[in-house]
Amino acid sequence: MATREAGKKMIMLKSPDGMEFEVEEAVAMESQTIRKMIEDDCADTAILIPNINSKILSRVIEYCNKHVPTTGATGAAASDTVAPAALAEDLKIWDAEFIKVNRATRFNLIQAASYLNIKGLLDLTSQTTIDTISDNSLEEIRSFLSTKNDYLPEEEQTIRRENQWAFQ
Amino acid sequence: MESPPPKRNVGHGGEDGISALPDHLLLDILERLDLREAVRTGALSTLWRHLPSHLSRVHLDVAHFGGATPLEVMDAFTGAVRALLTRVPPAEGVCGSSALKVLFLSFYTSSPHLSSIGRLVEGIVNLGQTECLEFCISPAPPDRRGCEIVIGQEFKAFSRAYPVAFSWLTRLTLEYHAFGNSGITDLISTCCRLRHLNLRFCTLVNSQSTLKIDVPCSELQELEFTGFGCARIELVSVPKLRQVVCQHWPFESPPVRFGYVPELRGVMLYSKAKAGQEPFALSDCLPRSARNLSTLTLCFGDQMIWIQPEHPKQLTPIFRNLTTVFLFGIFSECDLSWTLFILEAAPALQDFALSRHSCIKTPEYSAEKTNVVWEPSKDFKHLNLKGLHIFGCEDEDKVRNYVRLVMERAVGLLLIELYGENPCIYCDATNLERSKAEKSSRHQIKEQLTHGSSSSVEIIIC
Repeated sequence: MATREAGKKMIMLKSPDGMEFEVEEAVAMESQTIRKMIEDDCADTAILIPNINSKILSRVIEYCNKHVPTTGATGAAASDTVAPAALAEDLKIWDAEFIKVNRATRFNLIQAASYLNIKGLLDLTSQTTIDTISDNSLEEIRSFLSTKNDYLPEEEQTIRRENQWAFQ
Repeated sequence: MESPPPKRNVGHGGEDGISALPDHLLLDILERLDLREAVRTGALSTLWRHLPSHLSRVHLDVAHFGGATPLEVMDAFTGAVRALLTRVPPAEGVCGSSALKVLFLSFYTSSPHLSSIGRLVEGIVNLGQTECLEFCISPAPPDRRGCEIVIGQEFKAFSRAYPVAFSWLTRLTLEYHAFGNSGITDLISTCCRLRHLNLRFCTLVNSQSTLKIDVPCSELQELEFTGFGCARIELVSVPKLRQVVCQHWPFESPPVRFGYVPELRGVMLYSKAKAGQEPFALSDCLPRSARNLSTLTLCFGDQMIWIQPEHPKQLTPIFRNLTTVFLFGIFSECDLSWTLFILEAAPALQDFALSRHSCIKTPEYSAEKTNVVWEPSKDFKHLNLKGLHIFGCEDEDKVRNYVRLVMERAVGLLLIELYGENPCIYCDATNLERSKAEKSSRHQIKEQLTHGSSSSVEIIIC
C-alpha cells in the first residue's frame, strides 16, 4: 500500500463494542498483526479488533502513539535536538506511569499485546508479573495474581517433593 | 482475520485473575523466568500444575542439584528431566504450545541414569520439533580431580543405545573422556545435526597418536579443544567448519593441521609453551583451503612466543582475506617489531591488537622465553590497516618505537588505542600500584608520539 507524501495516512480501528478509533497508519503498524494486514492489503476500510474492548484498545493506541519511531519533518527535528539516551529515558518514565493500572487492566493489556503482536507492550505488561513470581513466596504470588490454592495439602506436598530441586 | 486464541474456561481465581490469560500467554511469562522459578509456579494451583511441562525451552544443569553423593545428585537431576520432558497432551483448545524447541542438559556419566535420560530425550526429539539440543557430559566429581580420566565406555554405550537422541544433537560438550583413534570421527558422523563440538580435557586412549577428524558429510561449524591429549590434531575434511579453538596442547607443535576446511573463518590458538615445544611457522599449520579466514587469535600466556615469523610468500595465500588479528599475552621483555610479519602477509588486515604482560608466575616445565627478532622488509607499506590496539604499555621506549614503526608502515592507519594491562590474578594481588604507573606510561607515549608530529592518526588513551 503506497504511503502518501503529503499528509499522514489514517487507519480506522474498531473495537467489538462498536467504538471507532482513527489512527495514523504508522502508529497502527506498531502492531505486527495490523502491519501484516495492511501489507497484505486487507485493510481498506476499518479493521475490526476482536476481543479487545474500547477501553483497552484506547490504551494500546496511546502506547503505540508514544512508541512510534519519529519520522518526517517534525520527527527529524526532534531527534536532532534530543539525544537518543534522553529519549529512551523519557520513554522509560512514560512506560512506568503507563503501567500503573489495576490488575485486570494489566492482564487485558497482556492479551491485547499478544494478539496484536506488539513486543514492547507485551514485555512491559508481563514484567510486573515476572517480578512478582521471581521475588516472592508462593503465598504472596497467589495473593498478587489472585489465584486460589485449590490443592489438597497432600497434593501440594507431592508437587513440592517431586520438584524438590526447584524449592531448595 | 483469524480469531484470537481461545480462552481457558475460567474456573479458578477471581475474574480479574491471571487465570483469564490463555495458556500460551502464561507460558510466555514462565519462559521469561529462571527455570527453577517457573517450576515452582506449578505449586500455585491446579491451573498451573501442568504448565512447566509445556515449556518450550528447558535448561537443566546438574550443578544446580543437591545430594550427598553424585548418584543422589543424578537421581534428583533425572527426576527433573522426567518431570519437564514427559509431555502431556495439551489441554483442549490449546494447540501447539507444548513443543519443546530448545533443550540443554548438563549431566554426569552415570549408567543407570543415562538410559532414563536417553529415553526421555528420544521421546521429545521423536516429536520432530526440537530446534536445539545440547548435552554437556562429564564424569561425576570425584573422578574429575585425578584428571587421569578414562571413562569413555559409558559414554560410548550411551551414544550407541540412543542414536536418535544423538542424531538431534546440535551442540555437545564432553569433559574428561577418552576416545579410541576413530572415536571422534564416529561420534561426529552419528550426530548428523551437530554444529558445535567442545572437547575439554579429553584424550585419545593412546595419547601419543594423532587425532584425525575426517567427516566430509558433517554439519559441524565449530570445534573447540582444550587440553586434548594426543600428539596432534588433523582436521582432514570438515567442509562446513567455521571456527576452531585449540587451547593448552600438551605435546607437539603445531597442535592442529588443517586439511579441507573451505568455510573456515576464525582460528584461535592459546597455550603457554612447555619445554620441548618448538616454535612453528603458521604456514605449517593453517589451511590453504580456507579462502575466507578473517580472524586469527593467538595467545602466548606471557610465556615463550611459539610461532616463528616467516616470509609473506608462504602466508599471503592463507592470509589474503584476514581482517582482524589478536596477539595476546606477549611477555613484556619481548621486542614487538617481529609482529609486522603478519601485516606483510595480510594485505586486507584492518585491526591489529596486541596485549603485553610479564607475569610473576611461571608455570612448571615452561619453555624458556627468548626474544623474537625479525626485520620487516625495507620498503613495505600496508594500505588497509585502520586500527592498532595495544593493551599494556609499560616500558615506554619499546611501545613507542613499535607504534612509530607501525605508523610509518601502515599508511592508512586512523586510530591507535592504548589500553591498560589486562587484569592478571597473580600480579594484581601483589602490586596495586601497577596500573597507576602504567597509565602515566601511556600518557608519556602519547605525548612523545604527537609532539611535533603532523600525523593525522588519532591516539586514544583508554
